[in-house]
Amino acid sequence: MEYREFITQVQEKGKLASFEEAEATTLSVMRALSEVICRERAVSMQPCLPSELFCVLEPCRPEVDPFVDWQTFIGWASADLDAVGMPDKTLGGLDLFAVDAADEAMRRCGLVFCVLKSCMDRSQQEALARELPEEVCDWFRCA
Amino acid sequence: MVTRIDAKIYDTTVEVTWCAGCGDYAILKALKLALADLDIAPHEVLLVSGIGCGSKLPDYMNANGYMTIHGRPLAVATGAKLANPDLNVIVVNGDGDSYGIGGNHFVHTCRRNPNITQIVENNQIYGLTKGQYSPTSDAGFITTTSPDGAIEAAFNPAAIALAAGATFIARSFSGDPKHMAEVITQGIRHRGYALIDVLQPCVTFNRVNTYAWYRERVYHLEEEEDYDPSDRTAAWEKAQEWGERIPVGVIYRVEGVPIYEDQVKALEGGSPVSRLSELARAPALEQYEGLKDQFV
Repeated sequence: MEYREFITQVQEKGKLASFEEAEATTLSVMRALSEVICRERAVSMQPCLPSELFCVLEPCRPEVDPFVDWQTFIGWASADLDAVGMPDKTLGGLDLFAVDAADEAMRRCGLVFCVLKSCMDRSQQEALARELPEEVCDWFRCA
Repeated sequence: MVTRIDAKIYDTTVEVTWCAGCGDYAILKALKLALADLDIAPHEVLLVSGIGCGSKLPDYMNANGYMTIHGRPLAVATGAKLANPDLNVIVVNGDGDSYGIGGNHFVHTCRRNPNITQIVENNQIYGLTKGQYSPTSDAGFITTTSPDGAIEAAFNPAAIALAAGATFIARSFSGDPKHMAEVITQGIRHRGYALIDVLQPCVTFNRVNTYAWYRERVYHLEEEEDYDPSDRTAAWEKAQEWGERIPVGVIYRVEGVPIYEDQVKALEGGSPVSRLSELARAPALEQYEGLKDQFV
């Protein structure tokens, strides 16, 4: 799949406002993946990924990082997510300057995973899923 | 070394209310891993915090906890350590609580050198109160209370700690939990005051210093072949680095400096906790006089 097509699919599936927003979302989620999966896995994904996305995976460490849990993963994935103007669920009230970005970040992870899965065969999907934090693995499988 | 303690022993059922993606999650995890690695049981730990998002951490750990008023955890922690030096006293608070409201305590704890560890969750913003600029916010940082950009230069924790006489100064990044756990382990092992400044993204209110922003900039001092953390001048230079390159790891460490509790004369006969049964009895008049003599 070409880079532009990948991003367009993310945009359409998520009904995101612009190509740029879909691109930022995709790059953030790929960046989060690069913090978790091992280099070998990244290399195995190279043939099925647009080169622009494989570049994001290049800093992968030699081994899977078991210390990154779903919370840290979401932190990486939500780096470019607008976080102002939504309900702050941490205090249970509506605060115009706060946001519980988690739901939106998880949804966006699901969008990227969905398109990513369409590029990979079953065995590649399973190999990748095994390296993800438990909850992220569930999102990937459900995408 | 065979570890007898599993980090899960520190888990609680209390619901964590940090925003998803908050760097505090990784700090919580790293602290549990470090304590387990050091074979320290929950009853041997006292976590002291102040006010703020990060200061909620003692609620989320199965250990002794004390949430103090704003900016005062170091004072309380020092008192707790004097009362019971056998406790592993760990202060966990944010950059506002530590360097702003508690700035005075921070400086004087550095020079006193009590055997306590402080982990500062430094997200460069006041998160709990919805995003005002904090002492460590960079100049020009736009927030609700600095719409034209923060005017002041940022507080430099490492440099100030070094100037004030701290004996262990380290920095880590919450996007790298493994490194953070290793640094916290070293900090707890250190005999004396240990400052661990953790660069911790606030995913809701700080949209500048994100995980990606830090990843592009941080580098590990452990990988610098020539870097010697006992070299005060070199540490001073590293403490100044910020911006394009940000060093993480142990910036400064000196061993053998007397700790505060060892120098308190009133503790020569044992700590208050070790003498609890003796002190709990009503003292005789001669004992009062003897006590008075110790302070005259």
